[in-house]
Amino acid sequence: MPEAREAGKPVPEQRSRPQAEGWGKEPYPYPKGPAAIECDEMKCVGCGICQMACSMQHFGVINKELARIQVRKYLLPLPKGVQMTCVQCAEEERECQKACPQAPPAVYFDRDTLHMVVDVERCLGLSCLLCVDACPARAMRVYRAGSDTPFVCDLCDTDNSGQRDPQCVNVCPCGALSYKSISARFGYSIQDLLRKHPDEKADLIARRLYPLTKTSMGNPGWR
Amino acid sequence: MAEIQFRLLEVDLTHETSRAIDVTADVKKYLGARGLANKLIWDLVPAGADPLGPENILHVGVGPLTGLIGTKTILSFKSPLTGWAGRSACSGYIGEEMVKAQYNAGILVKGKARRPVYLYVWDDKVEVRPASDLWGKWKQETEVTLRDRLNKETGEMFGVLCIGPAGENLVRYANASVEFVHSASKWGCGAVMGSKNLKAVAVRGTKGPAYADHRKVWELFKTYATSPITALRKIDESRWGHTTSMPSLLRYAGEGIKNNHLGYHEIVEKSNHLEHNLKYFAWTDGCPGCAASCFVPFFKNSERGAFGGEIRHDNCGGFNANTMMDFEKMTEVSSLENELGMDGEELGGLVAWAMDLYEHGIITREDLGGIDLRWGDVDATCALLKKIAYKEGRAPAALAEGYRRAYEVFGEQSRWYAFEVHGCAAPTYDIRNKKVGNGLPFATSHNGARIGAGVDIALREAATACSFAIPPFEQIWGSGEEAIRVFLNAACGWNLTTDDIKDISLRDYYFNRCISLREGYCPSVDDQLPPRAFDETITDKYGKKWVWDRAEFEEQKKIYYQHYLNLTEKGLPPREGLARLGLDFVVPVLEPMGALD
Repeated sequence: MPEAREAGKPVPEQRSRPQAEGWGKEPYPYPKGPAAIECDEMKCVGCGICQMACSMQHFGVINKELARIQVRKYLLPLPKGVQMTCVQCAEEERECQKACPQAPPAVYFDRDTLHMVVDVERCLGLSCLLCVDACPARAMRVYRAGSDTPFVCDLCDTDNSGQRDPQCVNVCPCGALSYKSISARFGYSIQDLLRKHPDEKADLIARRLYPLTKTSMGNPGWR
Repeated sequence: MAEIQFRLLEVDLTHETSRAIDVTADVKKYLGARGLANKLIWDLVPAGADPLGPENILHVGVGPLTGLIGTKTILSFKSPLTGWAGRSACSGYIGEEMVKAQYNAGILVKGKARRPVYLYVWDDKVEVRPASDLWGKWKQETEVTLRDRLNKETGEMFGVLCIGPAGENLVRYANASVEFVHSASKWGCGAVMGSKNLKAVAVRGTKGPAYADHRKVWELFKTYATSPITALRKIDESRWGHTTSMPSLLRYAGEGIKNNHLGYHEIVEKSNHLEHNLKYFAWTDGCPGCAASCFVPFFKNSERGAFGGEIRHDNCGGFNANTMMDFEKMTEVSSLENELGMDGEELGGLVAWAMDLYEHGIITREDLGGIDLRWGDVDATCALLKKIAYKEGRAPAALAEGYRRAYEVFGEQSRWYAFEVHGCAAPTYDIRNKKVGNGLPFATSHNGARIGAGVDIALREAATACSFAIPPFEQIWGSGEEAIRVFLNAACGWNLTTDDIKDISLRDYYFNRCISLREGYCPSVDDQLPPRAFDETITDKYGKKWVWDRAEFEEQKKIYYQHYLNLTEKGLPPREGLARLGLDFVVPVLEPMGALD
């Protein structure tokens, strides 16, 4: 069980990319309240270094399949990297939590530490996976060879003690990933509007290349 | 830390069988990719074998560092164009999928399938599957169709390497590509795949890479990924890709203009990388693990239609001004080259040569199947590219065979116009420009007219380490060799010293050269420049002139062999070097041929 965070103790200030000074990658102070990882998809190059950082942080190995953030390569027809990770939905839209058959749910948003948590003691594991099917973006990740339970972005607060410090954001060479206060315009969260599977995001980006279709680099081209 | 094992997936297309082989001992000696492939070709391909026959092999190679210093996949084979050691390099997702499937020594393809097939690899599940409905498709359609089909079947996203119609039709410089823009282009790997009825290789790896010390690897890698040195390189690479080398070379007589006749023409001012970027740049794209991504695909919608692709030095450099075109026209031509599946550098020379021959009446419109092949004509060029890919018509079919075989069709009078070295096009880095300095590297290359055919690239193509990704590593660790050394030790659990790295580089370089020697390459006869390199002076925009003097070339060649390539004065590997590096098994083969000093 994770240690209870000492009440009243401030969360130490986290900064992005602590090692990269200058050259337009200045660290910015991390949000203290509810926050999530966002990707500027048009800046993502598909290198997947975020995935390497994530799997190292959580599992101590480099293995992109063990990452909670995912980057896929598409041909739109031009090659494009498209990212996805859990956007830390508001309660009303949190399909994974709603789908969990456990009471209280084994996958939930921890209001103290401010991120999604999978309680591995109570999660029913690979025989269930209702949360995985419920998330439209498939942000709940499964990797049978490495984990008996699904796993989801916890903003790198691996022991749930309140130390959020997303490693993927720290390492992204493009500045495509950012760690921001959850959009709360007029007090309403719209995180779920960002909740799209990379396949879906890829199709949207492909619209920019109209009238090219995915199967040809020319239209009408050279035929 | 325990040393890791290296697995090679061996596929026999004739019998449609496969097995995984432990090649750890060989990888320790040669590293992977082109290093390991030297041994595979030497052992498995009989000397004199037909490169388009079933005895040739194709190694789709990765090495211990693929995905850590960029992601380069090296295809090794006996070349249908030169008959010597052939190699192509591509980046993109295929290399990473092989590493994640833990075929960390790559995939070896032998034999020939009875009918069109593709290779399906998902970790340990390996199948040779029918590809009759893919055969005939152009590149982009092949890759997308196959990826979508496999995604529907498995839910996984496969990396696909495929050929186009040129490979199927055995054009001798046909290529293969990955994510369309990453092309394994040189020396006809596409034709080798086509000759084996192998339309595509599809790989998905979900095991993850095998490293001896993941934490140590990550510590090193993170240093690179978050370094300001890397960020600085990224600023240039991610905006411009490799569109900037052409404008600089073209202005200074460093790149072919009008079939390498000119050192300057006002047309080169229209190959402007800023104009191209502002009009057509879509986004930056990159390879797995690279923090200074250098692919800048373009999208253009115009009255002539919509086009996508990427302009880079390799696919356009020897083509655009050489055929009297510019970047605007190349947006239409460069993607057709790759949809059909042919090496843009080879075509850049051959198409320019054809235009020259046409202008001088050595080939006729009838020879070209009705094409009025004028300088700078996009439609005529596109029509010609299609005919070459399908070998339609007397001249296109001859061009599909490369310069040396085409001489027999076009006649002796065509030779003077051909700007080739070792029978390979040399339109890029005009070899007369000694400041650019590729005359000697091209002339002494045992692969045939190639930049970077030397000892350092032999190391990189065995590690593998992408030459575009490596500069920040060089600065952070002091040299490419040192960066490769520390990463190898962490990834593999080895204890390589600086001398070990030097030995591996030289061993791999010599061995690759010995393959060419065994196949009849003879430096004293073959290492030459085309006559025009000596007889035709080029002048750049500002009046600087370049030409080679024959005596000077012969003298400098000797120096280059000895001091840059560690060879004898005659361009041969020294016996004591072969012995010291454990390559003396080549001596009984090469000596009777007179291929050793």
